[in-house]
Amino acid sequence: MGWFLEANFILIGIITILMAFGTLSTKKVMRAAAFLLLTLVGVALTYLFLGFEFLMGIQITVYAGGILILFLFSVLLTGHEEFKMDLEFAKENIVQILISILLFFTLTALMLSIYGNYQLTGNELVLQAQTKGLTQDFSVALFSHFNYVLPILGVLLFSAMLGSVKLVLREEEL
Amino acid sequence: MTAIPIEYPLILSSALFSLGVFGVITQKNAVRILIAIELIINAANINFVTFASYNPNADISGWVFALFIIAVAAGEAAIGLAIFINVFRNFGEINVKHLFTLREV
Amino acid sequence: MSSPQEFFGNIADLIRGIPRDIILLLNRLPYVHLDPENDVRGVIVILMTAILAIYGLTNLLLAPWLERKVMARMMGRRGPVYVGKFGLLQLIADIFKLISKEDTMPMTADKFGFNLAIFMMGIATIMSFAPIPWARGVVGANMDIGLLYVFAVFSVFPPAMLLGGWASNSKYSLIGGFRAAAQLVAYEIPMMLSILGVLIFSGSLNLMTIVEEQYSNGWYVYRAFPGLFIAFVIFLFASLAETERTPFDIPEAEGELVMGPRTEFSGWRYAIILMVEYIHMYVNVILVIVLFLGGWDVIPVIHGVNYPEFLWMIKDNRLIQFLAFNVKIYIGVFFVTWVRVSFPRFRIDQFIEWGWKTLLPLSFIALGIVVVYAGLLVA
Repeated sequence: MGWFLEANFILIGIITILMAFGTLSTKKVMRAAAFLLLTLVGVALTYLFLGFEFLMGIQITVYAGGILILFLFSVLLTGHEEFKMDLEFAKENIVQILISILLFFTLTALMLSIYGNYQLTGNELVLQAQTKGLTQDFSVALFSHFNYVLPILGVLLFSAMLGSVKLVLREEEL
Repeated sequence: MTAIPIEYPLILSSALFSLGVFGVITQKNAVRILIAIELIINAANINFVTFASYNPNADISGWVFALFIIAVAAGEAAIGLAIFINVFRNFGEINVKHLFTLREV
Repeated sequence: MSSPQEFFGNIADLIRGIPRDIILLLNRLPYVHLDPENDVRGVIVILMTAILAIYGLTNLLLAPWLERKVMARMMGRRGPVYVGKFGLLQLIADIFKLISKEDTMPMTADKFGFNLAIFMMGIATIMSFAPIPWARGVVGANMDIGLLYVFAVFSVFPPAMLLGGWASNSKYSLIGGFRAAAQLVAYEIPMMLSILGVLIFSGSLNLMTIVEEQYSNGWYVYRAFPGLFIAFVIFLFASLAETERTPFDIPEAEGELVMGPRTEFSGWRYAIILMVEYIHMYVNVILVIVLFLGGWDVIPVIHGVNYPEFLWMIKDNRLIQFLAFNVKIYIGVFFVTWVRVSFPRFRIDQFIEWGWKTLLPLSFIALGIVVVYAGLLVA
């Protein structure tokens, strides 16, 4: 049933790319944030196809539930002017458009030429994840070999929290 | 049993990456630039997960890195948006074309 | 004729068997080589989830009726009486009324956000039924990240609320959306922290494993006393706040904000919103039961007490487990209604403050007690 998985992946990938284009081309900033939400969900489904279901949950909980709320709030708190991506825009930004198209083809060609033959050597974790869940292995690794990751993340997020609170609070409120 | 070929996630990630770069260099609203940066981060994340999953040695350090990146992105978004809210309070807009108080026009 | 228990187990096995038979039939066709063990897993998951979700939704027709009846009795009214026996079909009548109404959308509304909010919430709620265990072995998708999955699915609610509130282009909706997002984010964190205590004991995010652990070692409410009991109370309050039930329905406070973020939604959109609210409440009740009240377990095990053989037979009977789970759900729905009728609404600033400054430290304390207890248990 390989073709079924492939077809699903291609469908989800195309939708994800369309939604990512939507975040850039839409008129209103709020809509851009909504498109970002759909992009993030699409990326989360990609993780599921790559055998990493735990990150799918984390991606939707943290990104779609946490970070996106920040985006929506800040869009509403900082005025949002209209923006148009039309022919005039394309004429003004012809260099940028060319640069990003070139970047896409260069990146794809580079990565495929270097890593395209990896499937021959085997995609171990994907195959393992299809037969048994790897969430346990991942958490065991997180608490044994990579036991410095979570404390570092704690310090990082705590400092980010304090910093953003300090930035947003007005002087007279302190 | 088969899994999807490695080309598909790589093409997806490079498409997301170039769309993100396109957004960063063309958008003028600061929040939209941050949204484009999120796209870039997600593209990088897809690559990390892909290379970890397709590693013949079944090494999951790439997955740990992906988790790390999500947390860093959360911190980055919080700080960046706090800065933009402050900018909006001081200047009344967050169009990056008009924010040049530290340089001469 | 087999015993009820066997019959019930056979149904689950039958459902698992059908896709396999279809695959074997398909293999007789030329050029078809399918593996009956691996290729049907996805089909089984979809089928079981669909069946259990339909069962849950049918139950949902009863839960709002129960809520309205109980609420009416507590207020000294009689509740729905006209449609069907005891007004049992009232909800169906309501749904038909809402669906047959004109489909209106405010002219200045943002169509994309307006529709996206509804679809996101509707799809997310139905998806949340997948990993819930209804009895031993009766589950839609037995996934390792079950609990995380449910939370991930529900975590798209705050953006959807804010988006819907903004897209309606009405100030009441926008204020309501702000309130909803602030409240949901504030109460998601104590909720997550109170779960950590459970995860220390279960050692798994899989809802099946969590229930099995409670089946053999006792329910989590009374274990690590009082650590997990505090966590239970926190989780209960937080889930009531998450579902915006009446003491905490600040986003839609009808005295101030008409209907909050839902003001502009009408017709079938309002029907979906109603359904989403009830399923959200229902699934949250289920989560409380699965995490703290033993899930489908019938008789709680107490450490050091030996039960006679027939009690274990009752505990092992799948049909009794299934019925016990349903009874627990209805008791939970009754409790939620009771709370709804009994308490007045909070004020938004008090409520958010209560979440961040009281529940959050309290959940840290509860987690600390559980950690100390678990450490002593190991040492």
